[in-house]
Amino acid sequence: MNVIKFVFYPQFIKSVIVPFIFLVIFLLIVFIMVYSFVKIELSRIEEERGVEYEEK
Amino acid sequence: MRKILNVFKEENIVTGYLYFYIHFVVEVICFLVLARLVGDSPLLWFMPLFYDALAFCSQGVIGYVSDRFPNLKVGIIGLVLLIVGFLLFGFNLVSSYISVMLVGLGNAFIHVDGAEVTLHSSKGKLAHSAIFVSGGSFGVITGKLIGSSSISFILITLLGLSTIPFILLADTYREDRSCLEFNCVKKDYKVSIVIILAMIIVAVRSYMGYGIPTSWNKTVYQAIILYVFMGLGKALGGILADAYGIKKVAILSSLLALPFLLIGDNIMVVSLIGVLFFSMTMAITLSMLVSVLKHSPGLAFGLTTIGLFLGSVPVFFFRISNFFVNGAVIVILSMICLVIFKKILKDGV
Repeated sequence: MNVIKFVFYPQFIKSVIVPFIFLVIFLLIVFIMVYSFVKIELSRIEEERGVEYEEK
Repeated sequence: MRKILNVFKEENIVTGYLYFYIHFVVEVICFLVLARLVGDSPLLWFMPLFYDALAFCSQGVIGYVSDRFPNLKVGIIGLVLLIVGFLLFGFNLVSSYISVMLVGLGNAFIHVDGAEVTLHSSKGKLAHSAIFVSGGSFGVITGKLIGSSSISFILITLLGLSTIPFILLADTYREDRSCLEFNCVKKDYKVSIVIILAMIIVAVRSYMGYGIPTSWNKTVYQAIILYVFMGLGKALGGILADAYGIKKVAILSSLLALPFLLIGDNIMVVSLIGVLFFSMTMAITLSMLVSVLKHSPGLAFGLTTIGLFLGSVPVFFFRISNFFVNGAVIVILSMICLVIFKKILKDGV
């Protein structure tokens, strides 16, 4: 199991620790960015729906 | 049958074919790199996880940027990154992680461009993007196979460069980029709920894709057949949805896949029929997201790929080895997808 490799193989941890940290930071930034983009889109859609409702 | 044939006469369907080839070549290059790097080493499983995270998750950001700046040549940027990453890897000039990072980001840029072109030119039809997406399965298995051969790097680089005219030609088919004509989701649900549920379906399908019992798959020939059926299923999903309706295809394919997948563990033909049905929902989840994010198809496509990544992450750390537990998980997850499709998709679409 890969989890076991992660915990028990020091050589393995040494070889992946830098890319692993990079990956975690990258994913955090990407998820925060995508979340904010979706929030922007949602507010835009709400605005459009509001305008449609007022026009009706 | 006539309805299916009519799909191939849909306006701008050629964008699907163009991006089928581009997607095929991109996956060949990416999986050739991965196959040569990882080989049979059990300790190098981290590399595919690294690649998946970069290639899949970055598409959300790239997609949004591409939506906001429509004149940005995302496809060409992606190709440059891909070729540079591949050459650096081929000549062993930098750390393999940097090569994989460039190749993965190049892949992400090209995927976003493919989604933008096929969705914007399709006038609310699914076949275009389904044909584009299906090219990937053929590319993955080809890349894996030639990764273990001694094929020349220059030849593969030329193959990559051969996509330039295809990318430029596909770009000319982009229509008005303001708003898309997809409308397959009921209006009773909040947009945020639809987004979350569609992403859950994608993640569940991604996780299930790794858990499908295929004890029969032991030879290279059988692996090729498996990937061919995956690709055909993805394309057929969009084609049948255009011909017979999105909701019908979503529900029937989810239901029909189950028995074939479970019974077909040791019987190749039965299992392949299951895989064909299983792969059909790919284009449908994309159309669900585009139906609510009509101004941002790039972001919508990026959300599906983030769902794919989230679904695949558990597989890197553990797998269910018990056939019955695995079967039960597949049945439960399929039922969840089925209920979501039934509740969210509009009747008669």
